[in-house]
Amino acid sequence: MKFNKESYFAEILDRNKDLVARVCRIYCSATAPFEDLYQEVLINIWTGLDSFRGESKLQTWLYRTAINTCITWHRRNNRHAANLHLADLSFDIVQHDDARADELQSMYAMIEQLEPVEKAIVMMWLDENSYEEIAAVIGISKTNVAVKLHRIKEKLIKSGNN
Amino acid sequence: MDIDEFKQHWQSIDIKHDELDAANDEMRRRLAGGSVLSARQQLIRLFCVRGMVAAMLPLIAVTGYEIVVDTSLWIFYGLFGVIMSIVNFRFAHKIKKTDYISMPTVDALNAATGLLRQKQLVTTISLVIVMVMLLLLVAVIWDEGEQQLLLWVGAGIVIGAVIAYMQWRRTNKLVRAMISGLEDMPVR
Repeated sequence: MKFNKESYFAEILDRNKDLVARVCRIYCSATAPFEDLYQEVLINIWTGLDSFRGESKLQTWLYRTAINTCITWHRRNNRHAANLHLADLSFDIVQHDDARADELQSMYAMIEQLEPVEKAIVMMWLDENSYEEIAAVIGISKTNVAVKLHRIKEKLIKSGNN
Repeated sequence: MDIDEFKQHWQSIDIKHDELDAANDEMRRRLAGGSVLSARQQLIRLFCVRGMVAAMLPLIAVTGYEIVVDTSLWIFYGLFGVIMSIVNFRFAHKIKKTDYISMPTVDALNAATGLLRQKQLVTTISLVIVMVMLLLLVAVIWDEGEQQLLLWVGAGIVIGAVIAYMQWRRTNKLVRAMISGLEDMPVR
């Protein structure tokens, strides 16, 4: 049977659009708008489909593609303005009442304090991925994931208390 | 906000699926039509264009040789073009052969940092060379007694130097931020 790239791509996106959107939301900024990151991730998923052999789990591959795209895209383009607070941008895809919006705003503000790799680790943990899956995407050992996660949680608690 | 609360908030985020579905359909059509270039492909193209422009400098140098009689300056200028052309094509080749997207995140960040550092080093060296060449040009114009031309060249040098310094500082800041993002990240 002939491989239909277009329908496979559509199927993958349909099942994983939340994953891609969450990653882009975490890394978007004034110079890396959500829409641009999202589009770039889709381009790289499309391009990468040709070489994806299914050796790793599809979700692991998608996380890696989305995170690496956002980190490197952001780097190349983050040159002309200071980062805007993620929280300021959060309501174009999320609609909530005022109290809920405030909670989300503080959550995004706390995440924004983290380094790019820390963001990736905590995001995957929040999405209920195992240490093994996080380690596979980030490229560090499981033990290091545990250590980093412990420090990130401490950082988040500290910034939440301030 | 404690960690459990944090996790709760995260997992209850609602995303507007209608907008994402529409964006996905649009992108699927465009990608299937082959009309979209990734940022990486655009960057490769940019370095190739820069390489081609730099390769033209020796040709301009030949023309310049006819106007101003200072052989060493134009040889220097022509050589600079050749070297910058090679450097830009090398950057394009390096980006083309490195798959930043499918490697582990820490490796991708390491590779991107390395590339940016190299680019910053090349920029620094080329800025020094350009400054030397411009000063030599100023000396030639001074000798010729072209006061008005000297003023224009002087203004151009000052404006160019300010812009170049600002760009250089931004990239330096970026490199430092990337390095700090990699600290304490032992590779498996």
